[in-house]
Amino acid sequence: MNEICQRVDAAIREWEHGDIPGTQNLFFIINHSRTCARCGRSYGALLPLLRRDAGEPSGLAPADQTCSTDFTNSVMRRATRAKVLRFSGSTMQTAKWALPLAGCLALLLGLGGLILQAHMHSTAERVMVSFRFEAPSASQVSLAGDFNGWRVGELILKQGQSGVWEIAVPLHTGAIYTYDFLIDGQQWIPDPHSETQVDDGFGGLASVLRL
Amino acid sequence: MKEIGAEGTERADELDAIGEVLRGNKDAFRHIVDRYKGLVVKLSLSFLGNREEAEEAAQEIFLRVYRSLHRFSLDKKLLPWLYSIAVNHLRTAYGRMRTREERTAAVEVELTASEESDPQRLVLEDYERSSLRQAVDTLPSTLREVIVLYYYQEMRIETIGAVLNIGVENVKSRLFRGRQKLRETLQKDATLESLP
Repeated sequence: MNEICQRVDAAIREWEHGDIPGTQNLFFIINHSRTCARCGRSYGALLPLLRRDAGEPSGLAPADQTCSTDFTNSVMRRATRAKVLRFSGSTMQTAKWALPLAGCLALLLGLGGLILQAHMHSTAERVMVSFRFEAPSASQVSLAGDFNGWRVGELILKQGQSGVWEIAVPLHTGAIYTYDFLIDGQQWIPDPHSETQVDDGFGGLASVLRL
Repeated sequence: MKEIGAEGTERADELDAIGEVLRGNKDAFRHIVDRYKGLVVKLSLSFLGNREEAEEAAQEIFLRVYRSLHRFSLDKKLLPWLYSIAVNHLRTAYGRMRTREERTAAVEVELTASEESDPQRLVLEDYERSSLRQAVDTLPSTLREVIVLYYYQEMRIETIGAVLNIGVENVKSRLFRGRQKLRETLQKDATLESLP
């Protein structure tokens, strides 16, 4: 290690303690690190930090702030559907053992017959809600709702016999959720047999499930 | 980078939008999303290093903001409050992402390209930034957050203090310890690499 390396070592220690390197000092460190294998290995990766401290472009900050074109709409869709209403009535406490199906009737659309059935198997505070959905001509059916932050593609139903799709989701009792089905990643379909449907804020409806 | 705080008309528009949301006009939240989405995505990208993860995290951050808006104090500025929520969320998101062990490859893709034209220099600088990023990711979260906000987000020390709700001296102390640990980690890696 020669005298220049020692000077670079000292400058790096000073920088660590908060001494901002002047431009001249910065380029001295950079140039030496580019020619000295030892200092290059030791300090090369620190150079962007020194550049930032010296007021030079560091190349560390993500330059691109652009978002996907649907970013705002996606946030708004999820935000307006996001609220989980807490239910505090005693009725629900007794009802959790006898929760009926959230919806068991047929919904006929262009895709064919669509049927949602929700079976609930209760535990102490959570129930497994089994969603069944008949859509023989669909290639994918997914479920999204408050319970998963309305993230699409996360709860994919499995196709069973006769074009019936199914998924079980653990949900909490004493809450009211909103949800919809998404067919082939394009068409949102509310459950027409849910107790209530609410405006989703985008000209559509969201199904309401009360547990 | 745009400094914290919007003045004059922008500030009034922002307060109007918040008031509208709190009065039940959900669509007014769109104004807040449109205004800050670039900054939030950029912050998320700095923390996560992966665009897809960053966009998803940014959306979740806005959802958190939306749900918490009733707790926002209207005499405060929105951006530091928003950043605080964002950093809290990104801590969790980062942990989840690390668990999935998807991070290393993604970082290399998202590294900012140098403006220099020397190909060898470009390769070297990309390698150095990649090494640095890996070292940053080994830091304890308290140091890592400060390093990311200061060096990758280019925030001022005072702003970082406001976002993390800590004093300026504490920020400086964490920066010092962060730099020290980075140097130690990188030197250790360099020593290992130089072994035959």
